[in-house]
Amino acid sequence: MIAADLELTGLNAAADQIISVGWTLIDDGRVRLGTNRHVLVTASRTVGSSAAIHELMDNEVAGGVEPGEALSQLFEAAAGRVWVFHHAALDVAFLQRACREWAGMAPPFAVLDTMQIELGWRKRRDQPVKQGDLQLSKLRSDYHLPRYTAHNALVDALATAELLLAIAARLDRKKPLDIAPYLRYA
Amino acid sequence: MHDVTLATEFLHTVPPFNSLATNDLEKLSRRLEAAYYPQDQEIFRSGSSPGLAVIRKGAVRLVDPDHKFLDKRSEGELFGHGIYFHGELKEYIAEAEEDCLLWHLKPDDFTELREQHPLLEEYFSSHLATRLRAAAHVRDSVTQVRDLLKREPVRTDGNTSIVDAARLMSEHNVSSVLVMRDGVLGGIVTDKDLRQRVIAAGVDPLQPICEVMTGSPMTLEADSDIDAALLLMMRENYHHLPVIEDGRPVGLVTAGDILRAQSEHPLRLVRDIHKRQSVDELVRLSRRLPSLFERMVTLGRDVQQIGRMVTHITDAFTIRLIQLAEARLGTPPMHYAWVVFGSQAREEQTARTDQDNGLVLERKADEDEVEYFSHLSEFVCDGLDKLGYVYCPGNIMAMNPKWRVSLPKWKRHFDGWIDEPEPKSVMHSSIFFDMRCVHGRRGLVEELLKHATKRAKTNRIFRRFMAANVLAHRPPIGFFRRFVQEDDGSQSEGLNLKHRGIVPIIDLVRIRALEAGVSHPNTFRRLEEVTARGIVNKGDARSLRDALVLISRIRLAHQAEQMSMGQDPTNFVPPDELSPLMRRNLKAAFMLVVEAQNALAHRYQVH
Amino acid sequence: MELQTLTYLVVGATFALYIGIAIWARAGTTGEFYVAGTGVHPVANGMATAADWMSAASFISMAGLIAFLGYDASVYLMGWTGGYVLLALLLAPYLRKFGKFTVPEFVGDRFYSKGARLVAVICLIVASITYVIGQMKGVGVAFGRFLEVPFEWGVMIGMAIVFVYAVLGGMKGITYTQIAQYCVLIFAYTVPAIFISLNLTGQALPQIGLGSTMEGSNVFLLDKLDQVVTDLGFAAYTAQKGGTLNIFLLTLSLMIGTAGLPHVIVRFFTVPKVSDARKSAGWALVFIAILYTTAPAVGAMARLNLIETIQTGEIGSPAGNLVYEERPQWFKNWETTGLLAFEDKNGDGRIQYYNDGNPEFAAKAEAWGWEGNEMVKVDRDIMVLANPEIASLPNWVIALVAAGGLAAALSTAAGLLLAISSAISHDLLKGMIAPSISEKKELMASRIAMAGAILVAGYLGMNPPGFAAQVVALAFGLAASSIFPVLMMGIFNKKMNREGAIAGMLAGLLSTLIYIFWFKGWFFVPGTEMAPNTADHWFMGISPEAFGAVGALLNFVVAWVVSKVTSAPPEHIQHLVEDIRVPRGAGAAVDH
Repeated sequence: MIAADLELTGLNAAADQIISVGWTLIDDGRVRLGTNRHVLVTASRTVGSSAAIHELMDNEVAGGVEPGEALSQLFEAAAGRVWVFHHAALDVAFLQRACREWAGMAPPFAVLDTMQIELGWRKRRDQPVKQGDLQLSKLRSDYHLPRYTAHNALVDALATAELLLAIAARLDRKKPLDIAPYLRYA
Repeated sequence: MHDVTLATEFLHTVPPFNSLATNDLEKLSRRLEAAYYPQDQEIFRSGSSPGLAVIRKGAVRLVDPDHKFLDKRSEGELFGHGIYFHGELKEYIAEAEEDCLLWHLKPDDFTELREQHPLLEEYFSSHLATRLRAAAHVRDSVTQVRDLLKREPVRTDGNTSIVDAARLMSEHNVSSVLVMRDGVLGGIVTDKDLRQRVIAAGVDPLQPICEVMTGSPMTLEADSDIDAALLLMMRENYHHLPVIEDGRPVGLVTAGDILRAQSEHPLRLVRDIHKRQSVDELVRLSRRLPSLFERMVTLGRDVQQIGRMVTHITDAFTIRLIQLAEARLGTPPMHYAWVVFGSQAREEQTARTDQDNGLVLERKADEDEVEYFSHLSEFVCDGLDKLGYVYCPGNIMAMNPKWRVSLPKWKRHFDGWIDEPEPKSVMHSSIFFDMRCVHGRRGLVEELLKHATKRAKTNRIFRRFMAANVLAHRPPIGFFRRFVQEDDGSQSEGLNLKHRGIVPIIDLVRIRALEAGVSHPNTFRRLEEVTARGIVNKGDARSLRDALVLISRIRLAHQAEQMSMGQDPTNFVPPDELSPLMRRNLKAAFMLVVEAQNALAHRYQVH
Repeated sequence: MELQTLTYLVVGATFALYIGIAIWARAGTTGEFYVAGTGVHPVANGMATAADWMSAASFISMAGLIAFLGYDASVYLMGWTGGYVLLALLLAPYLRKFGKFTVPEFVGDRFYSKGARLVAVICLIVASITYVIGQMKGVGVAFGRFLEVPFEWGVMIGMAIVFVYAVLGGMKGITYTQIAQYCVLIFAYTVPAIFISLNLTGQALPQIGLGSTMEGSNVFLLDKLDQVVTDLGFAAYTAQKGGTLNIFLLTLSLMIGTAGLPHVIVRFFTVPKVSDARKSAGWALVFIAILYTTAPAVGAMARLNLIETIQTGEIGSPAGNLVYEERPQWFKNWETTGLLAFEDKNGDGRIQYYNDGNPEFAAKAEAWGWEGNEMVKVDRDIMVLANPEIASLPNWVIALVAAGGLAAALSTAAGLLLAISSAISHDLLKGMIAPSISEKKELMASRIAMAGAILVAGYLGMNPPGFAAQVVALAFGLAASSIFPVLMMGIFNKKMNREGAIAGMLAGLLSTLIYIFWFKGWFFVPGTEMAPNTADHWFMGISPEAFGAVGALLNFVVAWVVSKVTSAPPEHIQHLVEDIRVPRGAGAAVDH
C-alpha cells in the first residue's frame, strides 16, 4: 500500500494545481518510515491564499520539480500498490488530471479511503456523524494517535497511513486485514 | 521539511538515542517501522526476537510468561531488548496497555546499530553485569565458590548399603551424597547414578554404595573463582561438584547455584538469610553484600530505595540472629523489643556501617533475666560484628547494659537528655530519636517514642540545643562560595559529603520533625509529615529533599566506584572528580543546606 | 602615634580578634559522630553572660550618670544587679522547666492563646526598641568622638555597623567571642580607672581609692568632691536628691524589668544543666560586679577631674577659671561632636561652670561677675570616654576605651535586634499571619524588621529622651510593667487565664507608655510633652523612669480582676503549671 497526500493551490481539480506530494509505504501492516518522500512541485500559478494552510511560499514551490518528474517518482513508488488516502475523491481527481496532462492518460486507481471506511463503519453502527467528525486530526485523536502539529503532504500521508493501521486493527483484531470489501476503483 | 524529521525530532527526546548525532538519528529513523496495536493486543511473545520498539504513543505492559506483571513502559520508552527486572534478566511478553503506536527496529538493524555505537551497546547490553564481572577479579568476596555453599554436604561411608544411602538422600532431601573413605572424599553418588547404575542395571540395593559411585570425582577448591567453576562444569557437563577445603569436603555446588549467584537480588538474599541455621552460614551470605550494593547503585535505583533495601537486609540479618539466639537460649522470660538506632532506624543505610541497637524490656529484669538478655544481646551483637556490622564505636549496643533497660528507664533516659541537654545528651538524642523496632514487642517502642517525642515537642530549649549542634556541621562552602576540602586522616582529601552534607540535613529534618511531634525515623517520611502538618513550607521541604537525594546520590556513586576498584568506601569526594555540572549541582545543594541552617539558627536564636 | 590612628588600630584589632575567634570556632567542628562537643565551663559562660549584659548604658553611661547625679544614681547599680539575681533565681529555672526561651512562646503556650502571644510580642518589641535607642546613643557618642564627626553622623555610622553586625549575627552567641568582648570591655573600663585612682589617691584599686584620702593630703576624696561641687552651687555629691518613693520605685522597675529583656533570658539557656546555669549566673554576677563597683569611683573621679580642669584656681577669683582659648585638646574634640558646648555669657574669655539654677548661689555668682553657667552643654554620656583624656592618660588607654565602648554597645544592640527580628518574623509572621511562609521569606522579613528597628532606634537615638542609661531605664520600665507580671502570674498562679493576662499586659504597657510620653513627648518627639518633666509635675513625685513599677502593679491588679470574672484556664494548663513548680525527679523516683 502507499499512503499519499497532495497539497493544492485550491479545491477545483479543473483549475487548481498540485504544489507538493507526500507519500509513505505500508508493508505487512507497518509504515516504513524509510520510504517517506516529500516532493515539491513547481506551479505555474501563484500559491495565493492557500499558503496559510500548507505554509508553502511561492519561492519554495518554485524550487520544486516539474509536475511530470514528481508524478514519475510517485508512480514508481506506487507500482503494484493500493493507494490510501483520506478523502480520496479530491486527491484522485487531481492525480488523474495531472496524469492526463503529463502522459495523456490516467491509470486506474485501486483506493482505500480512510474517511469512507470510518464513515461506513459508523453508519453500520448507527452512530451519528457530525460535521468535522471525520477530519483526519479528529479521527487520529479518537484512535489515540499522536498529534502532529506540522502540516504538509508528507505528514498528512504519514498520518493517513497510521490511521489506516489503527482502523484496520479495530476492524478485526484477530485476522490480518482483508482489504477487498473496502477497495474502490477509480 | 525532511522526510524523517518527525521521527528524529521525537527520538531526540528518547534516551539513549538523545546521545546520537542528528545524522545518525536520521539513519536510524529510516529503519523504523510504525505499527499500531489496539489496547490489550499482544505485541510479541517471549522467545520471539522482536528487535527494539520505541513507544511513540500509548503504553505497554511487560509480563512474564505466566502473565505476571513485570513493568509498564510508556511514551518515549523502549522495550524489546534484554531487560533486567529487579536485577534479573527475564523473558517477557509485551502487551498493549493502551492503544499504542510503536516504532519497530528489526532485530538485524538493532544489532547493527549496537555494533556501530558503543554507547548504545553499553546501554542495551547488561553493561552493569560487565562492570561487575570486571570488578569481581579485584575482590575475592563474592566470587569464590565458598560463598555459594549453603550447608554441610551429606556424607556417608563407602560400606553403607545403596538402599541406606538412598534413604539418607531422601531424608536430607538432596540429590547427591558424598562417599567418604578413611576421612577423605572417595566418590559421589547422584540421583541419576541410582537410576542408571542401580535400578536400570539391576544391581542389588544391598551392595555397598562404593560399588556404584563415581570414584575420585572432579572437585573444586573452596577459594576457586566461580566463573572458572562454571566453565569447568559446562565443559565437563557436571551438574554437581563437591567443594574441598583443606582436603575435606565442605559442600556441594550446582551449576544452578552459580548461575543464580550472578543475578543476585536483594530480596532473594533476604529469603536466603531466613533459611540459614548458623552464624557462620550467615557470614558467608554477608560476603555478597558489597557487590549487591554496587549493583544496586549502578542499576540507578533511587537513593531512598537503596537505603530501604540495604536496611531491609540488615534487619533480616538482625532478626535471624535474634531467632538463632532465642532458639539457643530458650523462650525469653518477658516481652522485649530489639530496637535499632541511627541510619538503620531511618532506613537510610548504605555501604559500610556499624551497628547501633538496644533492648527495651517490658519491666525491670531480675538477676536471671539480666543474665538471659545479656547472653542474647552478646550473641546478636557479636554475630552482627562478624557479618561486617562492626561494633559501635560509641558503644551504643544492646550488649552494653546501659542500653538494655526497661521501658520506664528508657523514658527517664530521654527525659534526662531533654531536660539537661548537655553536649553528650544532644549527641545521644540525635542517635536515639531515630529509633525503630525490628523484633519483639512493637508497642514498647511505640510508647517510648510517643513519650519522648511529645516531650521534645513541648521543650523548645532542648530543641535549641539540638539546633546549636546541627549548626556545628556546616556544608563545605567557604567564603565566595568555594568548596572547602578536608582530610580524612589518610592520604585522600575532598568534600566530606556525609558529615557536611547528609548529616546536617538529617539533623535539621529531625529537629523540624520534633517540632511537629513526628516520631517516624525516616528523613523523607519526616519531610512529608512536617509539610502535611504545616510546620515546614512545601517549597523548603522539597529543596531539602532534593538536596539530600543529590548529595546522597553522589556519595553512593562514589562509594560504588571505590568498591569496584577494590578500595574501602569513604565519604570523601574530591570535587575535581565530579563533572562541572555535578559540581554546580552539588554546590547548589550545599547552598540549600546553608539557607536552611540559617533559617534554623534564626528560628532558635543560635548564631 | 596620633590618637585617631591608634584608635582605628585598637578598634580594628579587637574586631579582628572577635571575627578570628568566630571563624576559628566554626572551623574546627568536624568531630566524629560519637564524640560530643565539650560543654562551656560555667566561668566562661558567666563571662560571656556579663558581656551580653553590659550594654553601652553600663559601660558608657552609668558612670556619667553617677558623676552628675551622685548617690542617687546608685539605684541603677542596685536595680540592675538585683534584677539579674531575680531573673536567675526566680524566673529562669521555671522557664527552663516550661521549655521556652522566649517570652512570647511562654506566654502563647501558658495562656493557650495567640492573642496573648501577640500582645507579648508587642510588649517585647516596644521595650527592646527603647533599649536599642540607648545603645544607639552610646554608639553615636563613641563614633562621634573617635571619628571626630558630629554626634548625628556618629549615630548614622553606628546604625550601619550595627545592622551589618546583627545581620552577620555569626559573631554573637559564640561564647568565646563574647569572652573576648568581655575581656576587652573590662580591661578598657578598669585600666583608666586604676590610672586615675593612682593619680588622685595613690590607691591602685579604684574601689578603695573612692574611699581614700587624696594623694598628698588627708582630705577624703568624697569630702573633697562634695566641697568642690557645693562651692559651685551644685548639690552635694553624696546627698539624696530625689524622693524616697521615686527612688524605691525606680530600683524596683529596673529590677523586675530585667526579666523582660529577651537577649538576657536567652543566655540562661545556653548552659544545659540547671546547676551549671546557677553557677554561671553566679560567675556572671562576679564579672558584672567588677564593672559595677568600679563605676562609682569612675563617676566621682571624673566629676572631680572635670571641675578641676575648668576651675583651675580659687572659686570666685578672676583668674580661677580656665581661659577658653587655653582649653585642652580633648575639650576641642568633644566640641566637634556637639556634646560639649561653651558660650561666653559674660565675655571674659574664661569658662565659668556652676549651677545657675541654684537661687542661693546666684548672689555669689553675680558678685563675681558670672552671668550664668557657660558650659551650656555637658552630655553626661561623654564622661567615661573623656575621662582618660581629662586625666591625661596615654593614648593607647584612650583608644582601648573606645574599643570597649563599641564592643559593649554593638554586642547588646545586636542581641536585641536579633530578638526583635525573631519576634517579628517567627512569632508574628510565621506564627500568626502566614504559617506557610518559606524560610527565605521568613529570613527576609527578619532582616527588614531589623532594619526597621534600627531606623526607629537610630532616629530616636539622635533625639534621645534622656541619657543612654536613662533611656535604658525607660526600657526596663516598659518591660517591668508589661512582661514581668505576666511571667510571674504564669508561673505562680495556676488560675490565671488568657483574658487576665492580655488585659494585664495591655494595662501595664499602655499606662507606662502614656506616662512616659506625657512627660517626654509623644513618641519622644520634642515639643509634644504634656507637662514639664520635673519632680513637681510628676504623679506623687514618680519619675517616668520609675513608673514601670506602678505599671506592673496595675498589670497585676487588672489581670487578677479580669481572671476572676472570666472562666478558669483548661485543666491541662493548670496541671502543667503545678508540674513546673514541683522539683524535677520527685515523681520519677518510683522505678529503680
